[in-house]
Amino acid sequence: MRKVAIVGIGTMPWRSRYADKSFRALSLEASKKALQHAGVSHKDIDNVVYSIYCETMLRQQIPTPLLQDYLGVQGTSSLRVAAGAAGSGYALQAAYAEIASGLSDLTLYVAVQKGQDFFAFDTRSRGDGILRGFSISMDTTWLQPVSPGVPPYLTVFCLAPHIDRYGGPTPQQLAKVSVKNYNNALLNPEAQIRRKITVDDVLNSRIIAWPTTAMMCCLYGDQACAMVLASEDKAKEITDKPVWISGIATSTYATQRADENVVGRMLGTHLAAKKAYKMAGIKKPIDELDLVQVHDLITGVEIMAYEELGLCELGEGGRLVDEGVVERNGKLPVNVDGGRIACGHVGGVSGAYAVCEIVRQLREEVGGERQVRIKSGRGLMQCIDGNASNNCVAVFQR
Amino acid sequence: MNTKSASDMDEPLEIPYTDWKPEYLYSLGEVSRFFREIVDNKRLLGSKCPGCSKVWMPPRGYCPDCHGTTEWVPLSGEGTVMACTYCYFLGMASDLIRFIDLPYVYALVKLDGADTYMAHGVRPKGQSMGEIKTGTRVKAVFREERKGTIADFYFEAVPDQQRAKAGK
Repeated sequence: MRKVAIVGIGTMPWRSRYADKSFRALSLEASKKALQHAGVSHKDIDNVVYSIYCETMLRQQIPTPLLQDYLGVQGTSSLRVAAGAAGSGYALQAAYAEIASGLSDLTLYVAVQKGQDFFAFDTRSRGDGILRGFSISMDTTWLQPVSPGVPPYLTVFCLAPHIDRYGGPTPQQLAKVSVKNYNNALLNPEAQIRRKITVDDVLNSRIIAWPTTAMMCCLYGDQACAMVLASEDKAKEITDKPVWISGIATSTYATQRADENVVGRMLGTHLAAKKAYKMAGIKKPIDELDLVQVHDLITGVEIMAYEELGLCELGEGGRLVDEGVVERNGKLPVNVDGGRIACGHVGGVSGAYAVCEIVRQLREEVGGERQVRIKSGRGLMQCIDGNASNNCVAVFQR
Repeated sequence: MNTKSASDMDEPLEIPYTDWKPEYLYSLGEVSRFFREIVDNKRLLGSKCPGCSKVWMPPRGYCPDCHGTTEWVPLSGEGTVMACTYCYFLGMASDLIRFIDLPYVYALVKLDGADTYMAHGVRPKGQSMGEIKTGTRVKAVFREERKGTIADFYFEAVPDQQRAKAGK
């Protein structure tokens, strides 16, 4: 397999809604930024890989020909990958494979989703429209008719059994992760929410599915991110700061087939991490990584991700929070962009945003207080979908 | 005459689109028997793989481990809560809002005779907050109106928990 590098990135500020931009315009603006960052033209691109989670949410099925036309890349090969909120990672693996195999030398990766065009006219609520609109992302026969949504699902299948088994994470630890991520977002000009909060604010916010409160849950919005990926030869022509994808793996493990071995775990993250670490040659991640981005769809699954990624033993995730290990100035900062709960989230794009943050950090282009100290030159992205059933782990190396 | 300024004309124009409301008349296929038993007989069935003896719940027509065709086995409808969470928020347009009260106790239930857990609601019936928890014994209760979906029933805690846990 050939080596693959990220040579350019483009992100937009997170907003709950871009009423002034269609998904076409969002895609183009993010792509322009990435192409400019790489110093290449869209006419140089061999192929395009799209990460688009939900056609009905876009109000457009089969959106890729529209985008090929709009982006000015008509006729290039394209493929679209969807895997819920983990789709950005799955699409990155596909983009990686296109170059690693030799099918392409220069790939444009575009992730886009409008999360907020749904509207429930019966209750006159956009939020209700969105919840109803993506409710069929859960198993429509066995789960959706009786399931209240993503935070309750993750709480009952993953978090609650974990708490039963290990006595934690405690509500305090869950709230501390919220405070950490909100604090990190204060330094990220692209973050959707930039507000100072306390543990009490989090614990007193509306209970969604106990112990998960509203301020422990991710946001939703409109977003587009783009990246330019290149083969080793092409990367050397383009930049002296390539960021290599040194390990990438996905694991699709349906948490809904629940028994005592599955509940209280995110086995897909564990399995994908094993494969990605092997590919990247990582033996002890807590010592060998400079920063980590995980999907904090609820803060409970951020803490569980520390464990499934092998940053600590099972059941010990809360300790990493209490000891400050995962703080911005800790041994291994997690979610320095502000995470999905404060920076922003939309299915199919968040993982790409996390990768862009890692690339910026490893290239030391962030600067200021938000810049992480780069020692090993390695970062890790983990993303999951709303059922922790689609899982992707990727390792990046400067 | 157009009296709007140029910038007003560029203001985002929001318009409704409600023409497409997906409607289905769908078939339950190989699990039709499961739903007919609920609608006609108020009874739950599990699917058992004759090859490996595992009973799958929710049921399925084939065993994913050996690909054998499963057989239907009647279940008592009683089971144990393996984990639960008290939900205090539902979107007001959710289907659930029509027939439940908050808090909604969303639980993983291991039905007696089944090897895997199913997610479902446990309706408090006089229990205080927190009384329904891991280990609580529950029983399926069928709604008056049954349409052939998993929402045609729900669970309630069995009245005499001590007796139920002692297996009597």
